[in-house]
Order: sequence, then structure tokens, then C-alpha cells
Amino acid sequence: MIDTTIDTATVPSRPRRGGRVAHLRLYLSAGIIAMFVLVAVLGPVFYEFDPVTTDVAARLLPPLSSVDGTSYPLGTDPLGRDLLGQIIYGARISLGVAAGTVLGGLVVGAVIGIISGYFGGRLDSFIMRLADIQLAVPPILLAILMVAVLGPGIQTLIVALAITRWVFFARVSRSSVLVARERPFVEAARVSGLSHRQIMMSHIARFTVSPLLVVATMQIGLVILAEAALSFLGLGASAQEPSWGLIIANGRGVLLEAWWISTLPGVALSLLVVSVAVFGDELRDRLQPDLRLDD
Amino acid sequence: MQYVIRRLGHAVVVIFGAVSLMFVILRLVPGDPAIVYAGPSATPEQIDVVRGELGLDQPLYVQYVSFLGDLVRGDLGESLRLGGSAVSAVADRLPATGLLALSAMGLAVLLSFPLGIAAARRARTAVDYSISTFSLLGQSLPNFWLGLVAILVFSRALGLTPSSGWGTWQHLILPAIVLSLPLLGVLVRLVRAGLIEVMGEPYILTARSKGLTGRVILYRHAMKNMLIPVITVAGLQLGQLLSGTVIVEVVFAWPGVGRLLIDAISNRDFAVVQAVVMLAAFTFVMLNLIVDLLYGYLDPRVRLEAK
Repeated sequence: MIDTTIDTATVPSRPRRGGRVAHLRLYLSAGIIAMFVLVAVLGPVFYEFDPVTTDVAARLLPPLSSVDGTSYPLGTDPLGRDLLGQIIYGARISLGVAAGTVLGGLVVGAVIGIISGYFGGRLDSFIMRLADIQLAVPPILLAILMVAVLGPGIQTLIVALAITRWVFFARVSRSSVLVARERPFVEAARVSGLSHRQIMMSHIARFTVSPLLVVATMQIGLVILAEAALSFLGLGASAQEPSWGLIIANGRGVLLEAWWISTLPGVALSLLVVSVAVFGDELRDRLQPDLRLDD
Repeated sequence: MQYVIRRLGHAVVVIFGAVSLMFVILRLVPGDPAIVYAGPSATPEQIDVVRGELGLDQPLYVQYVSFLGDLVRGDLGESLRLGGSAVSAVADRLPATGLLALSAMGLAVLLSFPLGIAAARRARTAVDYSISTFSLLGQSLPNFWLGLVAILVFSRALGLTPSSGWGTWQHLILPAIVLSLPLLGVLVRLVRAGLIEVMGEPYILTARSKGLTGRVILYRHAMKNMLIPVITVAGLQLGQLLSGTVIVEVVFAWPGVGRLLIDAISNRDFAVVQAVVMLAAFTFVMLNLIVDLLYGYLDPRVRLEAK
């Protein structure tokens, strides 16, 4: 007979970790994210690198190589460009695209969601139906379609990804508004003659802040992945912009002779994405333990 | 029955909307769509022919109506690159993608139960933490990178599997595993959390006080209620899985619809791009509909709530 006793009195259904582990997860992930941000902002100042110039003599050097006094800590790619320099620049692209996309999606989505939830009725059902329709096309496919139509490039990518994101922000802000709207002080504000706009801005909007923050963190991870994937497919960054996804794609042709080109940028990408996921998870446990993100 | 009709109506509205959305996006092409559709090497005469064929000289609403008409007849235009209709180009690639997606899905569902149960039974132990970490990594590691690393390790270093292509069942192993990981990660979490919750329900206590063994309680009573959320989430995550096939097919040179899409984009073969995205949207909505209906069938409370 197997033991299936599960002590439900002490184990919560969400994997909430003990205080110390949770703290460690939060600070460790925040530290790693901060490090990436620092590298993205300051890296190019301290580490000299030119993403455009190629050097055939230095092609496909393994990590820890050094040629004519120039050292290549992580080796070089098929065009002789320094891999470490590319990865540092890649952090800039990755975080830049994520910040632009999530900020754009958040602002548009939050405004739509707040208005939709506050007024309710036909407008609300119309907007939510629109969201359903957009979600009928998987987000990555929608982004691929838009990039295919508008042509590749960082700006297009940000716009395309932001358009696929507004739905998630709109849904979560709407559901917070639906709860906040029923509070007595909203009624009081209405009776005292405040306009809808004033009520939304000063009484309703702040209820959406913490769920939006949680969703934004999670979306940053997803957008970083989406950017890398699209660039990997040749639908994102152009050849002069060393996005991690693009570097990984560049290494595919020489995967067996030069393993480092495709694998090392992926380590940076994975570390960042996993840290963002853990950070988002901890943030949710602290701010919005009941938030559902499946739908 | 009323519930079925309502869901069906919703699905029709959503597909109609998604199709219209696509019409709008495809008309956003900068410059003259005829030039884009005719391809980069077309002569001005060819471009004129394409313009006539596509009805681009007509007003926009006429274009929209004829676009919908073509769609109903299953006509999505001709592939410039491959010759023949775009629909048949997609249909040729469909079995390969179906095989890959279903294998990945099956793998994820089958593995999620033992892993989720193990984590729940040993909650807050090293077993639980390792399984949870595995599921976190499965959900967040980039699949294109994971695919390349898998090729390096399993094909190159260990020589266990073919690196890419298709033909034998060995070719399916790596792509199916890589594609299944994100879904597996989600499902493991779900089974773990759901089991812990279900085990606290009064009817489990009843079963236990009747003197039933742990095994019977777990498999006969608890599992039955776990199936519903797992099926639902697996169904809802299928969109993710579909997007995943695009990347996995490119990495492993798998001759499916995803690779067709990427090839079509680089060749600017828009009829094929359009056909693939339509198919994806249609499949996705249909799957959601099936999941909804199944959910209503398995859990009568849902049907009542929907009224």
C-alpha cells in the first residue's frame, strides 16, 4: 500500500515557500535582473565593441582566445566579431524591446481595461469580445504576421509585440475595476458630483496598480522570449543589431564546429528569462496571491 | 443543448472577427499590395494581372466581401512559389505538424501526472523543489536554444538521435520533447496544486473514514476531479503549442506547417502566409470550443453557471 497522506492543514495549494527561501528567491532574481540592466546600460561604455566591423582573420575563435593582443573571452562568430561584445549589446536590445513593448501594451491596455470595466454594458462586452477575437490568433503568430507584412526591424517588432500584449493588461485591469467600482467610496464620489474621469483617475485607477505590476513583470519575460524567437527566425533585429536570438541563429550553420556561438547567448537569455519568471512569481505571492493568469 | 448553441455562436463570431482582423493586417502592407503579392521579380504587366485578380482596383468593402466569399469556398489564393493552391500547400504539411503537436501534447499530459503526484505527496521536500524547478525551467527556457543544445548533446556528443529531418520515429524524439516542455511545466504545477486542494475536500475524508486504501482514494476519487482542469488547461495552452511548432520545426528541419510559414514569409508568398495563419486561428478556436463543451459535459455546474 502506498502512502498518499497529504497534510492539507500545513501545505497551501499554491507552492508558497518558507520565508527564507522566498526572500532568497526574490533578492537573487532581483539581483540578476539588476545586473543585466547594468550591463545593458553601462556595458558598451566599458567594453569596446563594434557590431558592424568584421574580421575574417579572427573568425570562429573558441572562447578564451587571443589574437594580436586582442582577447576574445567568449570567442568569435563566423564573421570574426567578438561574441562577448555581441552579447553585451544584445542585452541592450533585449531589455529595450521588452521595456518599450510592455510599457506600450500596459498604457494602452490599462486605459482600455479601466474604461471598459468602469462603464460596463455594451462598450464593455464589445471590448472584451474584441479581446477574445484577437486571442483567437496565437500572439506569436499575430506578431509574425505583422512583421511579415510591415518588414523586419526593431521598431516594427516593438509595435507588433505591443499590439499582441494590450489584451492581457486590459483584462486584468478590467477585473480589478469591476471589484473597485462596487466600493462605497466610489458611490460617494459619484454622489458628490465628481466626473467619471475624476473618479477613474483618482479613485479607481490605483486599484489596478498592483495587479498590473505583477502582469507587467510576467509579460517582460514573455516579450524577451518572443523578441529572441522572432529574431532567431529572421523576423526581428536586422543584421547590424546583435539580438541574442539573431546571434543564436548565426551560430546554427556552424553549430557542430563552433558550439559557443549558439549556446552562450542562450545562457544569458535563459538566465534573464528565468530570473524574471521567479521575480514575477514572488511578486505575485506578495502582492496578488489570488491573481489568475491562465486566461 | 442551449449551452452548446451559445458556445457555437460565440465561436462563429470569434472566427469571423479573427478573419476580419487578418484582412485589416494584410491590407496594412506598405505601398501597393499587388507588388507584394506578385513577388519581387514581377514585371509591371504581371503586377497589373495580380491587381485585377485580387480585386485591388475595387473599393475596400467590395474587396472585403469577395475576400469573405473566397474564404467560405475555401479558396485562399495561389502560392507564387510552390504553384497550386495555398490551401493544398498547407494540407500537404499538416500531417507532419499534427504528428509533432499530438506527440508533444501526449507526452506532456502523460508525464504531468506522475511528476505532479510525486511533488504533491512530498510537498516541501527536495523532491517537490526539484520537480517545481524543472517545471519552471520547462516553462521559461527558450525552446529554440533548448533545441540546439539538445542537438549538440544527444545527437553530436552522445549519438543517440538524429539531429534533424524526418523519416523514422527516432527523428520525432527530440522535437517532441522540446515542444512538450512548456506545457509539461504548466501541467505539473496544476496537478500538484490541484491534488493538494482536492485532498482537503470532505469527500476524501469520507472515503478515508470508510477505510479505503490510499491508492483507491488517489486514483478513484481524487484523480477524477483532477482530469477536468488538466484537460481545460491543456486545451487552452494549445495555442502556445501551435506557436511552439513554428520554432521547433525550424530548429529540427521538420517538414511541417511552421516551416512552411517561415519559408513563405522569406519568399514573400503571402497567399500561403495567410492560409497558415487562418488555419491556426481556426484550429485554435475549434479546440477552445471542444474544450468548453467537454468541460460543460464533465462538470454540470459550468452549464448552469453559463445561463
